[in-house]
Amino acid sequence: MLDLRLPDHEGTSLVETPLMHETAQKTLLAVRAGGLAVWVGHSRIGKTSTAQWLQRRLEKEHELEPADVNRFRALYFQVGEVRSNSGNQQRQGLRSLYTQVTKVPLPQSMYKSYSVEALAEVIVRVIVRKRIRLVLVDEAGCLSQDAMRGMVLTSDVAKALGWNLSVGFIGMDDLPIKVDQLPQISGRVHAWCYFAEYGLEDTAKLLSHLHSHFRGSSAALCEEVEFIHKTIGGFPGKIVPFLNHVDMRAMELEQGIDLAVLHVAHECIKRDKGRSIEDAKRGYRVSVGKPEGVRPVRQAISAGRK
Amino acid sequence: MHDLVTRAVAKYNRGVRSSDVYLQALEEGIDDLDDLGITRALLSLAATGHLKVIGVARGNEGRNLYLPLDVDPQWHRPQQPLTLGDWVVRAFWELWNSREAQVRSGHRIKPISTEEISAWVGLHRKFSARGITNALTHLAASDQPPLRAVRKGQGRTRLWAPAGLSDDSLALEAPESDLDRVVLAVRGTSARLGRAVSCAEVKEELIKNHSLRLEGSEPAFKILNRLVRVPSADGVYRLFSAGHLRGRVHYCASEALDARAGIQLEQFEGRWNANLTQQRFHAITQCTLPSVAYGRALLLAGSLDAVTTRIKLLGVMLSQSSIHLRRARRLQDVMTQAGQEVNDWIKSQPSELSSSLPNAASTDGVGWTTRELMQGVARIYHRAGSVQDPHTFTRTVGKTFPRLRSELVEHWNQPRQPGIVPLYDRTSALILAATHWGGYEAALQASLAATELGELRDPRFVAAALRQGETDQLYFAIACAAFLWSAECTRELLRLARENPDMGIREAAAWAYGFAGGGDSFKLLDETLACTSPLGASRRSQAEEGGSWWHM
Repeated sequence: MLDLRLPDHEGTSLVETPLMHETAQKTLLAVRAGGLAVWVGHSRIGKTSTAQWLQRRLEKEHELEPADVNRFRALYFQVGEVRSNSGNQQRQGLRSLYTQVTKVPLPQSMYKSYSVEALAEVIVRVIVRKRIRLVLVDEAGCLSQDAMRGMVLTSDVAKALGWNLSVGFIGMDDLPIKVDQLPQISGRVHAWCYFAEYGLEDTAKLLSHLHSHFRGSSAALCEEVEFIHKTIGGFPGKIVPFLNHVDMRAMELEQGIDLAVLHVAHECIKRDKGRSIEDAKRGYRVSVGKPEGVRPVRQAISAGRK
Repeated sequence: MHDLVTRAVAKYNRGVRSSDVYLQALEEGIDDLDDLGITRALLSLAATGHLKVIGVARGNEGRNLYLPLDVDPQWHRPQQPLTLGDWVVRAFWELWNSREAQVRSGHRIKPISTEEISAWVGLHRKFSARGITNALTHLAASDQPPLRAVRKGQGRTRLWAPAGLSDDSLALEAPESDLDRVVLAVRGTSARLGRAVSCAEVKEELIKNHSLRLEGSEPAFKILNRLVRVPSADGVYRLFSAGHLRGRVHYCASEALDARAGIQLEQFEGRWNANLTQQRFHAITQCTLPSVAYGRALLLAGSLDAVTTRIKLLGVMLSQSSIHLRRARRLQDVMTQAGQEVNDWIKSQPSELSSSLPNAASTDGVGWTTRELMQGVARIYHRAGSVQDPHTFTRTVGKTFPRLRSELVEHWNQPRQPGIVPLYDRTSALILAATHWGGYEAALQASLAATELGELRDPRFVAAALRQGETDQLYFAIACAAFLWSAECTRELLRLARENPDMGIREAAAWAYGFAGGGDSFKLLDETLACTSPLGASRRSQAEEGGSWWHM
């Protein structure tokens, strides 16, 4: 029977890994110094999850003691594309930041008439008021260099007003190259955080936190972990949905999880993906074939005469 | 006589009449010839073939035009009419042919008036108007008249048409004056478009329809204005104003509801079509403050209800055959559905929210007169400072600010004589001024208030948010309270500025309190400012000048 409800919360909570802690620590060091941070890594490695986790943790800390000047908040958002040939990119970057900080669109009159530094100062007013010291900009690879400079300008203006503000650029694409090409930005980066793929041991630890089947130690379990690491890779963002598939297949086959079930789950995903891509390449043309057991009419008639 | 004619021809270089020959004889000193004798002699010569007649001229100075036989008539025909009668006939046919060429086939032609003929003749030769009128009368009464008089109504203006043309072929209803033309243009365009028409549409009709071309120098918009404001001699208004649409007055020739219904429906659709209503509703659901969202929804539901009722009444009053009836019913259905959606949303709100808020949102926004608006924004808007006269302000700067309504109030320079003056929405004016010309703090707060408040002006919903909101929500509530200038909200701002544990909230509330006119506001702001506050830096830089809440 089809279960149309969302799954229980258990099994989908975030698993804190040493990499996340290390990244957070390096970033907080950058915040204290008022520098920038750059987070780079492969897709589905956990950059976004880490950023959102860090934002929640800081928010929680701040709520405990709002009057404590040492507690602060972070702002996380995913930025849209700002192309390098699209008008005044610094303004566009600042407009994006203004909208995320204030939660209202920037009035067109302010966008057109305010200078770039004036816009930055307006944003800093809200940032100081909301006690934000860390701004995490996800998908920063979509930003042009000038747009990034606009956001970094906010950090500089905040510093001039006595408020340490760090901007963390998160992404892949050519983000590190863009940052490195601009000495005005690369010189201010205090924390380069690279999200490496999980090794076998880390994958095993992650799996044991994610699914009760993988808690324990046995040869069969090791084989299963190895299989997952080999086929899916050490990417938390890919491992979690794979485990959901595995659960589904195990339920269909009415048996516990073992290597065979993992194989089946993997093959199903691979097959569906492969067929989708093949069909798309063929333009979804249907090959006209005869169903099994059905002969052409003439053959059937001749066979009948015989 | 033959030689005399030859010499006269040589002199005038055209065919000659008996009067021309007589004049020639007088010039040569021939005394024994009189004009009657000359006429008889010329007729005899023509009859015997010594002279030829090449044409006729009208008038009493000789009918025939004579030429010697050996003279080529092609080079001796008169280039211009010789007599007044000829001029009048020439003018008539020139005008008639021109008019005939411009009118499309199958359409009737407007007769030529005496004034038109006089004007045409006057371009070439000077004749008296009475002479032209007499000439026309004589021509019409002659044996083979080229034209005839057309009688129209009781007016003294006479019109002329070709003799063989009956009245059925003439456009006798053609207007006599520019006022008539404009009225006809309005009627025709209204009938074609099915609604009242704007001045631009009337002008287009006046240009396209040749028979309606204005002859005077008064422009069409002045004529339209006059026809609407001033009744005709019999006390009847010939045109009516059907309302404004897209900033333009629309006119109709009838006071009947059908004529105005099209404009009224377009006015409704312009403000209340399905897309706009959906956008308004969507904006409400995106509000950060639940109480303000609730207030805006109540306001929208009330407005939709009122509009639906008006459209329903309009539909009831329209005749069954009206072309606007279906449109009115369709719009009514759209508004009813939208109203239902908004009411369902209101009912779905938590009971603890709805129980703590009023059941209806007040629509009584505070309005500023022009003078108050001038005083309110003059200190920050450079153009306003240079304008002293409220009337000039309304015409030049006042258009920037949204109006609330117009009221019958004491006239600003004639206290005993009431006049209609515009009232500007105070909150919208403050937000607009702060966004465009205010300092960073004012512009920032204005952007929050503009997005959150929408059209809501009832401070009770904002005061509820100031009492109950979470930290992030309080920033929006403070911004809204700053521009509502209400006593209840100002009290809450003071409480927040003094008691809220969050420094950012206290600072924002202190500024809003001062901007809204709270007492001892600068002292309060100085007490709440943090050392790292940009607002503090701005305040310190203005401290010596006395400071302005607008410029921080």
